[in-house]
Amino acid sequence: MSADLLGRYVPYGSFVHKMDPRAKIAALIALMVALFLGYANYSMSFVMAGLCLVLFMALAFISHTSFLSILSSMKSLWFMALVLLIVYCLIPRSAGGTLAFYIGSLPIYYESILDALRILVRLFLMIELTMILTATTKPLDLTFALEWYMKPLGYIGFPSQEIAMTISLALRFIPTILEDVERIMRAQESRGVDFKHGKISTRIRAFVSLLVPIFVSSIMRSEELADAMGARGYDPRGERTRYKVLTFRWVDALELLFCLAFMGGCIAISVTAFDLFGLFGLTVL
Amino acid sequence: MDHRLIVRAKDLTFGYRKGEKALRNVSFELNQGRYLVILGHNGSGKSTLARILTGLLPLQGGELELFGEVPTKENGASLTRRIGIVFQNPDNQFVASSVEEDIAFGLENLALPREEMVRKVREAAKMVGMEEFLNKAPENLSGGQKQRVALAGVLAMEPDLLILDEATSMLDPKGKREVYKAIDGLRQTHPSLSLISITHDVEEALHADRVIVLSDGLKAMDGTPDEIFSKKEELKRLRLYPPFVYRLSSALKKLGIDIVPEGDLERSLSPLWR
Amino acid sequence: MAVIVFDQVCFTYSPKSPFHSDALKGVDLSFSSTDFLALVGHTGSGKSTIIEHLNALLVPTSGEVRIGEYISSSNKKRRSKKLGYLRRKVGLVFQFSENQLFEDTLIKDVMFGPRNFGDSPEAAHLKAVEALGEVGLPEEYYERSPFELSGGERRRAAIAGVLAVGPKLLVLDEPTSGLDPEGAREMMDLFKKIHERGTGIVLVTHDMDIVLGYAKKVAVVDNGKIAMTGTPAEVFSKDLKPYGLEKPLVYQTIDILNAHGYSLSYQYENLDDLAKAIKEGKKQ
Repeated sequence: MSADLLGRYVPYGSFVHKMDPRAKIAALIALMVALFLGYANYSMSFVMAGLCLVLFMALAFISHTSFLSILSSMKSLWFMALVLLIVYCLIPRSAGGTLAFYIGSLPIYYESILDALRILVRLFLMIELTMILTATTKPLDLTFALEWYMKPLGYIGFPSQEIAMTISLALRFIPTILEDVERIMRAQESRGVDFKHGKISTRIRAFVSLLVPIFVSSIMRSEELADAMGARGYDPRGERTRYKVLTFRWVDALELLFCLAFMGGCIAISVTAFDLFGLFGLTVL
Repeated sequence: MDHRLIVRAKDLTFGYRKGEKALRNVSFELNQGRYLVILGHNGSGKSTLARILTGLLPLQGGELELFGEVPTKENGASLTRRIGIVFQNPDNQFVASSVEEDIAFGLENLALPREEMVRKVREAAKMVGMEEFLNKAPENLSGGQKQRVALAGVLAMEPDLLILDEATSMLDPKGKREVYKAIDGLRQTHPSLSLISITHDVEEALHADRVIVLSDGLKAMDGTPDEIFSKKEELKRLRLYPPFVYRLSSALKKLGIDIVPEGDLERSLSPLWR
Repeated sequence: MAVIVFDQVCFTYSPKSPFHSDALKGVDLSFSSTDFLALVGHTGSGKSTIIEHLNALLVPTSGEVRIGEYISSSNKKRRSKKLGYLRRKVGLVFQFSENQLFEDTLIKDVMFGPRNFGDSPEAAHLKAVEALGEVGLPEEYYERSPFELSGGERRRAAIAGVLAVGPKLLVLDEPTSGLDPEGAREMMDLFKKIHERGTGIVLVTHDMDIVLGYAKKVAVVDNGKIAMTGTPAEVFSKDLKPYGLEKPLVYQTIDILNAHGYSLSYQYENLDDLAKAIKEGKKQ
């Protein structure tokens, strides 16, 4: 089961994997900004989204992020798509728009459908980008990068180090606890529990038979862990140095620069309300 | 060798709940460079003793001296820093997500500069034979390897006293051998390191300088392995058996044949062909 | 009497993914549901994967397992439907089974299995009381929380929870790990008693002295295959180093002595017999 987890780190050696996690987070933000900018019109929005799609797909391909797992993330988007569509159609359009058709007496505008579609495409691309990030970056490196970004907050008394330690311990124990889950599930299945079928009440009982043991063993683990950390002199408030250092290489700078340039280009296109189609007098939407 | 007193415990008493004693009037001393095994069945108070020595549990009754000093609020941390402990469960003491970072954890807490950490991590990994696994994640290590990492993490802090609290009881035979081998090597290279091993494995106790048997929180026996394991009846009363070589030795003795039981099976048997 | 047959069983975890691993690579094994079989092998050899095929928690990637009339096969058409029936007949006790307890009282936890398989509360209660008696947990514990018991008692409670279902084959993964020597002996004596009553036992353990003392048949698992089978005496007289296994101390002793000019055979009931043979051998 654990192998199919969405966005799980998959160890390959692509340049996306090797990129400094701090640079990767900055690049992610730059690309997201590019993705969510407003453009001259719908056509331009979709052209720019298409450009992002090409770029992200290339990244996914290079980093061996499974396309299937990206698509399967779409599954959960269907429901969202429906909700978005309904919401956009119900919001009265103050700016007016092109009437498409009526549902009963409710007027539906092309713009409402296009707005919903646009936000959906952007969401999908955002998820794809995030999945590339998590599939190519060790969770701990991510924590490390986040801690680095939170460092300035430390000066105003924000417990960034403790938060980072907590997150990294949680990440460290995910595989261990997943193993526990798997073992307890098998043990209870051997005692006749069916986790997949049955009435709601039996399903709840099945779930309790899994949850209680996992809860108990996790508490035990955390107590022992606290002892082990205490015995090795861990003091959350004490001064610590770090063994692991991230090295920012010139390639990282270059890659980040590329993403920033991409964002810059998109911003330029956005603020100048550049319209590719308008150049040829082709404005459609 | 310097035989400085490392631990002096007198009448240690501890209870987790009122009216219940996990440890009752346990006294012992440990000299520098010595290997003490504390034997006992599950629930005999062994682990409570380890937790008191490392300062994880407070002293409720009795006297304790570590390295010639009485632990107080002020010096407690600096005394327990000189004691390293390896616990039973390999997973629950692996703090970081890779071998090298885990070994470095204690050093980070000492706020050492990075260059010094790198050197010490490498040295400690080498001591336990894990120098080729520095980048590995805990999920990809065997139990024996994880315990050796735990050992390295403690050794990197250069302790004067090493406590093994059932450190091999969750391991398979291969893992046990790996850990014992690492500890044997350590005793060769670091003769001044004192060792307390808490276990119910009588075979391990064969290698000790001295054995203490705990039962229901009381010190039931205290002596050299030979003194302890020759007392078959008393051991049985304490839910323990003599190690295999002692059982074989007493079977042979009935037939008038003498062997000298010790940690190494082949050496123990050697009188049979000489 | 049912026969359990593994026929060219292969099993792969996470196929076609970066986490792909072949755990079983053609296991052929057969034994009877009245045997006391020990599966030995180093960690990662595939022992645990084999036992999870015994109640169809895992289904072969290729090949098939036949447990009496139940067929667990990679071929969907051949697969038996009555999974519940199989799970009743084959009880699996996992390593550190004490962790599977969850009910607020001991008796309820032991009744959990029988209830899942459709027994009435009264019938389940009867079975639970019987199983708890068998593992030696006294009546005054019944209404206590399982979390108040000691580690050894909790493990017994978990075993009672499996016994209460009434399995014909009891599968045990490292049932003595973490127990002290006396606790381990008591635990193994319990399984001996259950076996004598007619329940088959499949035992996975690293403790070769336990294998020698209790098992009637041994299968050595190595690299996802069965490397050899035989009685404990047969298996332990072979060289087990290639499989990463250590012999019981009695056999190590015999090996050492034979290397120094003795010619002892590998069949001694107890240490007194071995001592006698050593005395004979010494004279010559």
